[in-house]
Amino acid sequence: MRMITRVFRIAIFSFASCFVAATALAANPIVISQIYGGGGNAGATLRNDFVELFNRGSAQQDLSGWCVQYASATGSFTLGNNQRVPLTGVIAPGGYYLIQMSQGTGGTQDLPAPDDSGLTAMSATSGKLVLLSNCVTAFGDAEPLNSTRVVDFVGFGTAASRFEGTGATGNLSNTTAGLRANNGCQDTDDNRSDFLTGAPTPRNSHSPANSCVPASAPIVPQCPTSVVVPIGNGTPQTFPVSASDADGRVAAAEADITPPQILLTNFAPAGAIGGTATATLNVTGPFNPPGFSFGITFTNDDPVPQTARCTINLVVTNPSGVRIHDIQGASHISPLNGQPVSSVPGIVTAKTSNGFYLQDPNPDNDIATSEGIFVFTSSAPTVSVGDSVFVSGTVNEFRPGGADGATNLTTTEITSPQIVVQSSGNPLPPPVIIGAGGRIPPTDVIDDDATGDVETSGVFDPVHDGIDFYESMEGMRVQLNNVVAVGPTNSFGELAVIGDNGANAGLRTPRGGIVIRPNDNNPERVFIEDSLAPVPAVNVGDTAPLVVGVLGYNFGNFMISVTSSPVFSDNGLTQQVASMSTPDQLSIASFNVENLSPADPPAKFARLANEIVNNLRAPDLIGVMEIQDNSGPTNNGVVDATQTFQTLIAAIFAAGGPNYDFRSINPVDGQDGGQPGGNIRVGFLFNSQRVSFIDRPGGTPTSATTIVAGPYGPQLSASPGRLDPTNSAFNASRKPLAGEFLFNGKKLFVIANHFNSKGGDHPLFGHFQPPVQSSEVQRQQQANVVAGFLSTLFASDNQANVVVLGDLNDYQFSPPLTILKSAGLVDLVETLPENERYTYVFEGNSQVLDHILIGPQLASSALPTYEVVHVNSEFADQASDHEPEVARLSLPLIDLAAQLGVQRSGLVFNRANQSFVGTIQLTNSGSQSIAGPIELVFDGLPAGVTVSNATGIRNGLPYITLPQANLASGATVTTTIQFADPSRTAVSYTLHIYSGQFQ
Amino acid sequence: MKTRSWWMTLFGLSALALTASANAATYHVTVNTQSLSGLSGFLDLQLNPADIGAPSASANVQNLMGGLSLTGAPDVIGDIAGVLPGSLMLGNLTAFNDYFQSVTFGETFNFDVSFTGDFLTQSSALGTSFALSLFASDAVSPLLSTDLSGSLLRFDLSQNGIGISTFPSAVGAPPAAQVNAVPLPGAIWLLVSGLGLMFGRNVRRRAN
Repeated sequence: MRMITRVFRIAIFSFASCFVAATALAANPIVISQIYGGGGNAGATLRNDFVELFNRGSAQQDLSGWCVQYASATGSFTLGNNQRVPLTGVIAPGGYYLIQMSQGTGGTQDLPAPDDSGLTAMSATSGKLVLLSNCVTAFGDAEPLNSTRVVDFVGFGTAASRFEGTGATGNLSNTTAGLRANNGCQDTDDNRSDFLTGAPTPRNSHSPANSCVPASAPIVPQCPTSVVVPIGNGTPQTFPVSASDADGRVAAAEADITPPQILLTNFAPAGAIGGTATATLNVTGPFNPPGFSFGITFTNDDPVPQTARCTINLVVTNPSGVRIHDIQGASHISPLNGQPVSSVPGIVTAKTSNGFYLQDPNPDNDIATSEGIFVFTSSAPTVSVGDSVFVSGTVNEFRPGGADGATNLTTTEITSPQIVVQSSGNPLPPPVIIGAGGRIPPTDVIDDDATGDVETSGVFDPVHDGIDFYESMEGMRVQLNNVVAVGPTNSFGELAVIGDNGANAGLRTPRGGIVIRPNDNNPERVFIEDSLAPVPAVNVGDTAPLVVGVLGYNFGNFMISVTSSPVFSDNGLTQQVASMSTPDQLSIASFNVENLSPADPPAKFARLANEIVNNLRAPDLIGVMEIQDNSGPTNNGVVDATQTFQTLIAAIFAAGGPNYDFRSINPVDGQDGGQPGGNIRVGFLFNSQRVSFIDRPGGTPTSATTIVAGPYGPQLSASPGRLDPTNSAFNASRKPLAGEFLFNGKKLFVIANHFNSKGGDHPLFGHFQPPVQSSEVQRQQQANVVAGFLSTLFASDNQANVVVLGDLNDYQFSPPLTILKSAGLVDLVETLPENERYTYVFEGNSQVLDHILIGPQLASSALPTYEVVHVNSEFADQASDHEPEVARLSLPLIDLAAQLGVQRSGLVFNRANQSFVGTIQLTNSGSQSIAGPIELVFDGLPAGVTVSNATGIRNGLPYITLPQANLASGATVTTTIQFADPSRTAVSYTLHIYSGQFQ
Repeated sequence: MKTRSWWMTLFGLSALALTASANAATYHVTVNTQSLSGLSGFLDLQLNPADIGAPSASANVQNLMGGLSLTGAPDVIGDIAGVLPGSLMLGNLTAFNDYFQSVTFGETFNFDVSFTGDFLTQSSALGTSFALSLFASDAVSPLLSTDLSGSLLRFDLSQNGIGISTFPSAVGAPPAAQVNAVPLPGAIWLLVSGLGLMFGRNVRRRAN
């Protein structure tokens, strides 16, 4: 390297040397900058004469061996050694150096600390001074001023016999010194013009430095950015290079390149300041791909020479090299997978932290073969967007996700790349428009031809199969117009969208989302993500005029890494509010509160409470899922969740809701799945002012509640109780919780569920097609347990009121739900229009995971109404990932007034207990038997009168239960009634008679 | 034995109620106070409606005889006219119509009571009841009754008829009060039929 450099330098110098004008005086940066000989004279302020030196240059100067020598204006330099003052030390760039000379008798001030001193008594008006770099001998009168040791010479005062240039400085005096102009910088080798006279201002090495190096215009080189040559011994090529300097003269050029196949010849320096120096770059080869970079450095002839370097990329092409579409091929796996490729051309379209996307600006005519690819550089790439590069490396199919990504598709990459930049600032290939005006995505089929693995089977069909559609654009720039968010932005900065305002999309929700249907998982939906540019937090239905980015794949989905942040407009999505319930309607909700525990901030409880109170309108009964234990996710053996329930209940009360009661059964530690340590469970919240819970002891985590005979029909052996909790169907999953509730005299069996999640299922866009839904097997087993339980119940009472609710983690058309519906249940979500059937938004797919199902009796008689209340899943900011849902069952009290003859006896006052006693006789005057029990409700009793033998109080009114299971047509039943009435007030009241069970 | 007596009483009362239906009637009430003989206490007669607004009813108590000594003036509340041992008329115009008389009990006493009023013809869920109670000298401790009301007998008056209930004087004991209808001529046959049924039931129970 060093040898070659020297060769070039010599070659160039032959042109440059004749232009170097060199005199020692002009070249030396050290000058005499001030002379004062009036020190100590009459009128002088300073006591001493002095000589001041100055360093005009940019390098420090050692003064060892130097001296100044004085002579009178017309006298000889050889009059004595005391005229010669030797110097020591250094003088810094821009620095001064003060030499103190003889002292007079006058003056009032000493000089600043001198850097050196002598005894020379200089004339106050005129004289001669020489600065020598070699003082072995004195300066001779005949010695020329351009002697190599003469650093500077100054004749001061008009009488001086020698001087530089056209004359000596002006005359000095006791109060004036000779000062070199520009604070010492000016040196045109003319004492007359270079010196001014003025008050002495001695400066020493501690005075502020004064740089004389002017701000100089740079050298501007002109070189080709890249030089493309073919592999091997190609034809020699020449390329012109040049450089100019607006305020200087480019005098030399040097190429910093080793191979002899590259030579810089024909250098011609600039003829004048501002002129252009030229040379020829000769490239002969042979070279191997991908090439290399080298530079040419230009230098001017400034006293402090400037340089400028241009970089030239030598790109060695392979005439038979593959293109990106050859690498991608019409398949999921590259036909060149594992093979080396060289000089693959393309434009850098986007950079990541460990690579960049490369796209061929000259695509082929096959839409099936992507023109884009990811180049994996491992560390931050050095290329720039817009660079035209050639990449050599090895083709690799990278499957993201590591051990958890076995079901992911692969991404085609070039690894271990060697990259040569051909040029920069190139326009990017236009993005492929996904949608109208471009390529319309399939709207229902993700894949319909693979037999297990799209990488090894099926037909690559980018027109009809969504998974092939996106694969055919992998790595390319893409664009969607008129974008609609079909999911909220998630915490990873990912957002599912559709284009064209949904013009080519499937079934849209009224709020902007898109619902799944059997065999339609919406391949028209694609993610955008924020690894290259921010994706704002938006809600379902928000719109953007367009998104542009590069199409990649990760986490089981194709994702567009946006290269500029899309601008979304708020579509004004608001939280829904449930309809009002009537007093005779039992409102039942199901709500997955997403891993709720006291470890959550109060704000989460407050938000959930607000939703329950103000959006759900405080349902009478709420089946809740994902209630964690008191210690939350801390895995410490705690299973009790009382604190969690009570915190939620308190928050609801604080939000203006009722003071709910709750029922649940603590699980066995770590046996019910979910977040480790959380011990999530299902439970009931209920408003005891509206609905009562029948507690039947005996429920444990591991004991099964069963259907047993009761006085009024079947009942639970334990309430609350778990359904078959030791059945393997519930391994690592939540056990259903059954409870008996009473509302308006009617008993309901309510079963809250949280079936096992879809974790472990293959992604929709995974390489296994159709995706294997392994989790569904366990949900079917769980559904069978619930169905079997209901079968036993219905066998005992086919008119039993049954509600099965919860996060069943599956769709209304899924096999587990089919099992439940086959057991006689009606899935209320199916009473909604098809485009409103969703309780969850997963990856932009609106879908049903949460259900409220009711038994046939309720379905046929309770006039059920149902709503999914959209408050969470469509919002980027959400209290839970699930939507709550509310069912309203019309269950009015059955008033028997029209069917019963009522005869109230007179009342006999018993002085012993201060009460009136009488009888009420009821006769079934209808033709149908009346179902018992029969409830007598005493409404409007006077103040101070109570029913002493009341069975209970309901809604503030005393009632007496006639325990008869049934009252046949024509039959009569009589009951005694006792009113405590110490004041013997007339016992006036309205008697209501209902059929039903109040407790 | 207890069961048999209970059944006999109920059946008999049913028969008697049938005989009294839909017509004014007079009943002869006999009260066995042998266990109280010589003790002081109170006789309590009430005729109260189920509620204000019940069809009118009145009870006329006459012919009080036997070993009952009336001592002092009665406490009278409500719709009451007359004084025992003379003819006493109780009405149901107010919620609490009460004749409360201090007495000294003898071996027995009896009286006749008859009922009239709109209740005989006017359909209503609100009945009226006539009750006889005896209280100890403390005026609050019921005597000879196991009923929640503390009464020995009760006549329930409604358009359905006059229901008569007598209550055991103690657990396992027969009622202290006995009621006999004073039959109208046209009703004699029905009374006989009722007694016959009562006898038949008694025979069947024995066969078991």
